[in-house]
Amino acid sequence: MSNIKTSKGKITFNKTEYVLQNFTNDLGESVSYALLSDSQVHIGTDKGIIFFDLSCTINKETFTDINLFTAALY
Amino acid sequence: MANKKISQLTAKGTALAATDLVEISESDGAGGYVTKSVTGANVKSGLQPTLVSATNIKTINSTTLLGSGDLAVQATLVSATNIKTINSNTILGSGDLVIAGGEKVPAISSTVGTTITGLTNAISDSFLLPANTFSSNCVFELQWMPSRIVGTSGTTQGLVYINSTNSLVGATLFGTGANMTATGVSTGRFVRWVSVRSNIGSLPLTSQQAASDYNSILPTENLPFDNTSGIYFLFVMNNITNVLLQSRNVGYRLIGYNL
Repeated sequence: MSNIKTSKGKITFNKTEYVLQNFTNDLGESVSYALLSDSQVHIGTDKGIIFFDLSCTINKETFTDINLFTAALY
Repeated sequence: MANKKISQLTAKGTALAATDLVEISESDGAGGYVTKSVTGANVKSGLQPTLVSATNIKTINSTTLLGSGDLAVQATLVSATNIKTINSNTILGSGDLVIAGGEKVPAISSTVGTTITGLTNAISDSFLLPANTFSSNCVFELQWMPSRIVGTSGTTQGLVYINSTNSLVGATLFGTGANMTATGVSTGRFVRWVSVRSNIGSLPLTSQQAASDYNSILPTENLPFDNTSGIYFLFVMNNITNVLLQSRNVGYRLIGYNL
């Protein structure tokens, strides 16, 4: 299971650090994330839009709710 | 033996023995000659020894050179005569032949990908762009063909991600195809053109649903694209709003140029 480490507006995944930032969604809105399904989410970063799902832990914590999972990233 | 021609002498009839004597006229270096004798051993010592394959004569690819007949060898290469040229340039000679500016087609496929069912983003097909296929400055075009195969309502999207592994988790969104809403079977061909400068790609907004980039679209200017390592392209289907929808990717092509 892959872990995401959070730190003050940044996340680290697979030894790569991403700065969380908004992106423009397909409706032209500036958003920080976009839910794809009950278990999947797009996260806006300085390195593009990154796909995560509930198979990941955040700071070693497991989530079963995608909303709680996303909130834990920010 | 006196007053006899050499042709009148009795023939020895056998091979020269080491102890036989042969009469010679040795040059005195001043235009004269002195009659002397040499032994059969003296004569033989000046001859080339009998050739024995692989002992005192080399072989070619373990085949002996001894014997009669012609030994077939490749004719001398003559550019444009018995070896082709590249754009009228010879390829004969030493050194490296640098091919620059040519089109690369590192991936092309008509494979029918895995069918994806229901409300999820999942990989239908993928390929690995090998390391160093493209340099830090390049342009390339990706075409892919998502296909909606079952479903009477709802929307299907064909998305593309890139990743260092053949996994969707942690992958970076590369492009979002146009919504496919037609009932029944429908297939689309979607296109993205990418300009890469110093390993950073510019391309149409990756989150915007669009079939192509032929019209002006907001850009994504920060897509990491460092091909010093292999890059997986992931063709992902997303069946939106209908758990019964089924879809898959049915082909792709990547072409590009190093700059």
